Amino acid sequence: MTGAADVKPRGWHLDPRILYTGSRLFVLGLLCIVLTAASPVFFTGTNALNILRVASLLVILGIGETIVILTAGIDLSIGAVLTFSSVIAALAIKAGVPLPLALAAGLVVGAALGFLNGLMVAVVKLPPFIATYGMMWVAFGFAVVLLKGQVIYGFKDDFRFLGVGNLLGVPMPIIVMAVLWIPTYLLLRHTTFGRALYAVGANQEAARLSGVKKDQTLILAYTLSGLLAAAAGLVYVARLNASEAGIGANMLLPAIAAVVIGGTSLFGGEGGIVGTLIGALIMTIVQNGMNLLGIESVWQGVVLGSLIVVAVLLDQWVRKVLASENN
Amino acid sequence: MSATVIGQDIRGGKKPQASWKKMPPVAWVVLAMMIFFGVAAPGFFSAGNFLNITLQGSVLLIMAVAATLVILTEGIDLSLGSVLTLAGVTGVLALQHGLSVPAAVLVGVLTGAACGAVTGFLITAGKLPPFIATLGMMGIAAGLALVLTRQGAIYSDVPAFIFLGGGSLGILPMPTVIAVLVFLLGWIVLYQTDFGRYIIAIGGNEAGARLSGVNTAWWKFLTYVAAGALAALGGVIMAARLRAADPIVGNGWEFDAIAATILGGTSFEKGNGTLGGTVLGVLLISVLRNGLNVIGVGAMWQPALIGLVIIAAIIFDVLLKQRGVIQ
Repeated sequence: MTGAADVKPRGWHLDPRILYTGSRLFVLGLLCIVLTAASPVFFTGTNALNILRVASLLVILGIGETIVILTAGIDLSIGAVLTFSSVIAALAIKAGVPLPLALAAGLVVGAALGFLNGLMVAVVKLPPFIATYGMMWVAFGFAVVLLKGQVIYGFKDDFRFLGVGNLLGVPMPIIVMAVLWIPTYLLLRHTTFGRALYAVGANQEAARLSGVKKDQTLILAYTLSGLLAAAAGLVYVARLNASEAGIGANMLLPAIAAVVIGGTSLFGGEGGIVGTLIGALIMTIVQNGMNLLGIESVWQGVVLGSLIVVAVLLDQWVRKVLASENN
Repeated sequence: MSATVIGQDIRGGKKPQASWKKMPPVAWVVLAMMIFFGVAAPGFFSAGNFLNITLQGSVLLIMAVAATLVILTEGIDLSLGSVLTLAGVTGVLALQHGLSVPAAVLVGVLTGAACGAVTGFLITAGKLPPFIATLGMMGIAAGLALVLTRQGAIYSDVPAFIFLGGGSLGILPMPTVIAVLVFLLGWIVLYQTDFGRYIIAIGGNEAGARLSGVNTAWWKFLTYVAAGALAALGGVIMAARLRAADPIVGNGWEFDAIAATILGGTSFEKGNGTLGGTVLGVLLISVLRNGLNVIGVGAMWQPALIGLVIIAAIIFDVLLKQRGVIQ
């Protein structure tokens, strides 16, 4: 008994995963406490739902980007895929296609573009950065061509419900987010594909040698990213009540930022969508807090940029502490 | 005519190479595009239009030289576009506060160098991955540009300043002259100095370089400072061309610069690549944009075609390399 106690290393023994998530939850909690103290409006049900609703788009895009980044790749095309697939759905709706079919068309197109990204990365072996950069131009470009410079606007209530409706008092974007987040979580944590994803990201060659179907895993990862971008696009257009070529332009970097603040490693194999959810919430709460405190929105870029740096520095520090605890 | 122009560009970056097999595939793509545009539009092959291409590609070349230096160290700089924006803003603000043109240019360039110093410090001392440190700086620099301009463009029409963007030396537009000087300087630094040798050594094998006594942290830091300063110079020229500093003018430029670098054959791994290749990558994008205009393709179709050509070019490159047709 005493012997066993002796060989135990010093310090607390936490699963690193819990510690990483914990450190982010800590930041999130701290933000909430500070803002609750600073603004009477912050800690209210309405504001909480508001934050979740605003964060939902970022979360949907972010979990797609997380899946790709877990494979040590990157998807620069999510903003453009969001645009293109929402334009397809919007055009279909305006052409009188039944709503479910129009929505499905948007999702299928998004998944198809993601599939092409996956083919380019896995089969042709293009660097993900340049393959998805090219796809960014292609998807954005064809959205421009399809729209002919116009804006499609004024949708019926059945479609708009997706963006502005409520179900049991909960805004629809939040429900869509939950409906997408939960299965993705299960997919990553409890399926062969999920394990393969982490394995491919950690070490492609080792994963291949140990029998992981690397190409299929990569293709599916990019396809999911495209599909999720399309879903985000549908919700966004339903909320805006308009579809135009520029809507996705400012979506890419916040989504990557949410992934990074959430602690997913850009080198692949480490992280997950719990972190991305927290990352997106941190970003949204910071923006929300700045609004509530009357800080001009021009400062948001500076604050978010600093946040990214601080979050990852914190990460490094946690890792260091962890490493010294284990020695 | 065109063949000799291209041939000189390739040899500009490297030692003379006898075999056509060593010609980067992107050179063939550029050549094919020039022939196509030349046949399709007689106006394409004229001295005036070639000067136009160099003018349009000048800022991209400066940015791509910056991106190449960083990528050769196995890094990445996502802040280049924002730094371009911010430096244009500080430069024009300096002019508005009555500083002389050389002083204002210096203010702009030093702004960029300072941004580079911050990211360089975060990367080397803070051990942040370059992607994250520069993503943070991207937000901070873009945010500061918005703060400083109060979200609107700021103007300057000091003649000596405008000359930097709109003037010409003989028949050569000033931006072209500056871009060529930057390229030559970059080439000398990279291939003729210790700094350059260390950049290449760090990219090839950082641990090895460090073990053999190279102060890798210092040279990496300097690389980011240099990249920031170059992006800033690009921003000053851009502001001089537009006679204004626009707070979002640099959005997306980091991706263009990195894409040109990768199209030119530089890879994210192992620091493989050449500055001459980067010129070809820049030429590919610049010739394509110019040629599409000259043959009368409307603005509507251009983004989609640019995306398709970029994807085609990189697939061509990767396939040729896989088949061993070229080295």
